[in-house]
Amino acid sequence: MHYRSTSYRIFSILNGVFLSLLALLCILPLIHVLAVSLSSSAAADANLVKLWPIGFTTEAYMVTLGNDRFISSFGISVLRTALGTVLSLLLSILVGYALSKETNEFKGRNGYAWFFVFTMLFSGGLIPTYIVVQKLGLINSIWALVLPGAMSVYNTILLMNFFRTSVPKALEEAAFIDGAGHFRTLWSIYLPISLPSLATISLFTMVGHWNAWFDGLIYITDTAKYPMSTLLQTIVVQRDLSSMSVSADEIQALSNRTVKTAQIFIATLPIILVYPFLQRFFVKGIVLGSVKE
Amino acid sequence: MRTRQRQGWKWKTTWPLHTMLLPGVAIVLIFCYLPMFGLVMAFQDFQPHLGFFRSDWIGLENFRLMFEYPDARQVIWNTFLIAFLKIIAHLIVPFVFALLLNEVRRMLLKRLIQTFVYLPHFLSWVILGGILLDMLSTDGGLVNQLVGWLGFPPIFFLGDGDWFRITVIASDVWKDFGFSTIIFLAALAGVNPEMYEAALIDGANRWRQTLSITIPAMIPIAVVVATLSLGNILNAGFDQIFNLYNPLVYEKGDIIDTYVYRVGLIGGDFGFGTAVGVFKSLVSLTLIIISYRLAYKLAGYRIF
Amino acid sequence: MITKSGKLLSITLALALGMTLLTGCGGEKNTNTTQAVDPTGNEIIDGKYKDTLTIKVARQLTADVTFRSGEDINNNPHKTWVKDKFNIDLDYVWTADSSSIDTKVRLMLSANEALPDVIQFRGSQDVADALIDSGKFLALNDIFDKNAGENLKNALAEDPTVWNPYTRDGQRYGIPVLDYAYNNDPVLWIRDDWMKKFSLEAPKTVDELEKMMEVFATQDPDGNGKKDTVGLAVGIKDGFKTWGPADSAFLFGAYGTIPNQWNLGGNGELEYGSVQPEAKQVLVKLRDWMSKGYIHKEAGLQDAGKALELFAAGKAGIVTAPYWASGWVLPGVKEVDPNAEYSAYPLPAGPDGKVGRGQSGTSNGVILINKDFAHPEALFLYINYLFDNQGKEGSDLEYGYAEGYDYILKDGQPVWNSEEFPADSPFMPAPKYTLTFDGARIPSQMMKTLNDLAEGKTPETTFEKKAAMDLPGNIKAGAVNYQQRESAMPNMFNGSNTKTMKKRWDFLFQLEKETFNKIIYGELPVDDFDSFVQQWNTSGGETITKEVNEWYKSVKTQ
Repeated sequence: MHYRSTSYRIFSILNGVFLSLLALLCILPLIHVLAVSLSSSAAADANLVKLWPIGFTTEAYMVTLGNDRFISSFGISVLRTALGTVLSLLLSILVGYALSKETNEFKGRNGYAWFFVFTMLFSGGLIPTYIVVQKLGLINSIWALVLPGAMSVYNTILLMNFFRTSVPKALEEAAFIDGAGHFRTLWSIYLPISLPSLATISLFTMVGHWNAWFDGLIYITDTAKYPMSTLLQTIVVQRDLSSMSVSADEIQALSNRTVKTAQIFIATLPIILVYPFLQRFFVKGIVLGSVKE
Repeated sequence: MRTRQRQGWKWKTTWPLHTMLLPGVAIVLIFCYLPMFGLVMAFQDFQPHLGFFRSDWIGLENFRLMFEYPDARQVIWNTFLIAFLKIIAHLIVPFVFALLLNEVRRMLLKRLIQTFVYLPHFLSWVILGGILLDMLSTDGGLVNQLVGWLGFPPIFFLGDGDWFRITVIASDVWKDFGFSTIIFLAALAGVNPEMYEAALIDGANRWRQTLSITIPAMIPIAVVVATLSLGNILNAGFDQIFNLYNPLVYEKGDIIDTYVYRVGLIGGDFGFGTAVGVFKSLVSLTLIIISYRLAYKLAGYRIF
Repeated sequence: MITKSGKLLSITLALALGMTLLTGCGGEKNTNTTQAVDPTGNEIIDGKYKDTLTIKVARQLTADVTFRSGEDINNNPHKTWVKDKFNIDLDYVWTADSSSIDTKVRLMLSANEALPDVIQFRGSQDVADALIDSGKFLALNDIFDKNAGENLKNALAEDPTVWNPYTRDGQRYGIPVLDYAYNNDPVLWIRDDWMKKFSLEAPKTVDELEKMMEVFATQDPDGNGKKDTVGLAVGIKDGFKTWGPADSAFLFGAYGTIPNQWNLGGNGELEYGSVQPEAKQVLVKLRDWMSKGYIHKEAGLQDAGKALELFAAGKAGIVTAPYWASGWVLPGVKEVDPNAEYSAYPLPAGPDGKVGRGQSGTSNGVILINKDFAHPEALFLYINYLFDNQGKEGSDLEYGYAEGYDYILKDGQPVWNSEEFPADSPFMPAPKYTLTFDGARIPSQMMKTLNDLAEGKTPETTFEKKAAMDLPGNIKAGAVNYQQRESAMPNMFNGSNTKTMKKRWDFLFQLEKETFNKIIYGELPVDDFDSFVQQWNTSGGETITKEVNEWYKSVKTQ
């Protein structure tokens, strides 16, 4: 635009080329996965496929999309992601706002902050958490996938810091003088300004929920109710075959690479597609003037 | 000042804040603090069918077992080194990448690059491990072809201890830098464009603008990310190492989590796993407290 | 208070159960007439319960169990059949796949959750131990003797060691699930077209094998002008003995031991294969082969599956794999070279004429019955029926488990070939819907039948007809497997991990893998094997050997 020195131009071109190469390097594995999923199973199982399908066939996709268990798990994943993201976002906003106050405004915030941070480091572990969830009667319920991790301390701390750095104090004080309370200020001042950071943590939460598989494995006892990532995990996971009883039929069932990669691709697609939509929030800064009124 | 300080305690002005915290506190109490009673397992020979109350108490035996392992020191050192280098790399690479991306003026290209680098994050290490094994093969792997093209003998990336560590860190960065960049991009999006315009009027060139506006906008969040990632100082990435390591690099590549996993396979030992977890958490906690204090003392910045 | 009354209840039930057994059935041979009286008054009349008997089952849903659209484990023809046949309602209260079953069971035990009547389990030994040691499962000695049918008893008697993992002080706490014997044992697969090209014969000894490897590695068998092939594909990342493919334990076997397992030594004691002096000789060989490029230089990074790909990619001329591999992974080689031919050959013998291979387990999972379940006889009623009737002429299980699922009838004749099934109702593995994972598998049946078929026998029984449908390569390989069955060496230790194992095994095994790999790669001198053995013994190996032998004595005496 305004800075058109030759050196900057040269830099700009080199930069563009370099980043494009980097980007290229990053899509290779996904292209590989796609290529395998579209290959004949003999070629795929022998690991012959690199970046282009061998013996092109869409059979793996037909099989996957014809599998009603896979389809229903997709629905469960969407539901948990939607529910979980809304809930997490809500909690993070409320807690993030309260913690963004300084101690002189809000004595006790430090206590709260450490109360939360502590849980990032120490956890009771699998068994006691399971017992709590079980005693609450959440086994086999979608809430078991949503509630235990609903309060993401990491995201909350990020959001709190975004609040602090991006919301001008003057704006906030003006609101208080106008008689707005905390809830009002949060709603009408903080949130509009913080759209990029809200988009960021929403994305993190969505990705987290979409990819989470372990909780499904332990809290859902009806395999028909598995979310997709859990279902995927059961076929993609690297089995330590030396330590378990091996059934020839199961090994053959598990080693079907084309179907496996087709499922990985289908499962990854939605969460990849979400990103370009959220991107608009990162690409351009928000002009503060526009939110004043 | 005095009145303000007192105000901080005033229920009348702060009750909305307490109310806002309530749901978060409740969730954390139930799902994080309540299960912490399970930490007693660290001091037990925990047997699932006996539960917390009837399993044998064995004092510090689990901790002793951890340090008694003949290679314990090596394993802890491997873990620390790999995790530390990963933390540093995960800070620098996305930071620099965000800066470079910020200079790309073509919107479409920028978005495309941004989306592409975000992709590897979504593939599991089981898949990526297989791909890496092929890419890094000394027998016609892509990377070694490149190495040969540059005139060097092929490198045994996954079979040589030192190269193994480098490979682990580099491939981890490659997998996640695009995703980690998002935080910095969000920080940049928070910068008011008017500031750049003002700088331009002052005659600052792009490099000056970067130094005085862009970088300072990213520093606070970088500090936060750095501090929080100290929580992982003894997590060197189980899935990755587990999928890549092999007997030739045990010495330099074995980490705490792979060790605990193997012991668990043989003994199903929850008590031991918990003890190791407690040890890791204590180390992380110490480091986080230190860096929290440092940030506050040196920069006057409260991270959380 | 609750626990007390709970205990009381279980004692009452146990007593009641004892009564049942005493007053119960007489006819053991024909289970259809088995009569049982129970406290609730439910009884078996003509092989069927008077009132519907519900059995709550927790089942490991292995990945090979697939269902038709709209069906699941609680809604399938086998379940309906069991209901109609025995008036038993199999109620699957929860299922878990193979990757989560272990965790799930541990969690349930920890949370003290109510256990189902039956657990159908194919997970790790460690978790099976936890279940048995919880004391919540039924001791089966008497019940089994009384209720098991002849066919079931005979099948289980083929390999008595299948009971060992579930035996405590002489009492048996679970019904082992049987698999075909030698099912995953390795046979040698060789590229026939390469052999022809160089006019080679299938190797009878390790020396001949070595010569063949040399040719395959150095004389450019694929004719692409590059030195990019190896002789033998082995994956040694996880040890020499794999679960089947790319195994190298057979080399050790040629010298008289199998590494990574407990072999029966000459003195009647169990000994760990990897620390025997014979192992050193093989390490010398492998080291030599590695330096000459006869085996792949990344063998140490490759697990069994990965190494098998070398053969499938046309980069290796020889590999071991189970007999059923001619249709699995190996066919990939035809994508690379349409003229590729391969088939199975016997394992080569060592200098003293010895042949040895690791033997795969005859048992593959277990059925555990809850102590508080009032009708253990119901399970035998059901399992006996499977073993008595599967494939039997005139029985409703003659052709399979459900028409339209694992077989269809065309003009009154059974068809098993899945390609002939109508597209809208494809083949489904109905035998896998059973409580025994795979219907009734009689261990000795498979390899023997394949051998008969390979020798030209006309298939007559259902089992033979089905086996005859297998790929010709598999049938030949099955015969090869069968003819060398004497050389199979089982892992004699199949009990739970001993006390010292829990503490030390990881270290010892890591040490073993690291030392052996470094010797093979030439990073350590061969003689480090001796110091390794010494360290192995002093770091717990000796104690473990003692414990393993104590265990062996305790199960052997029965």
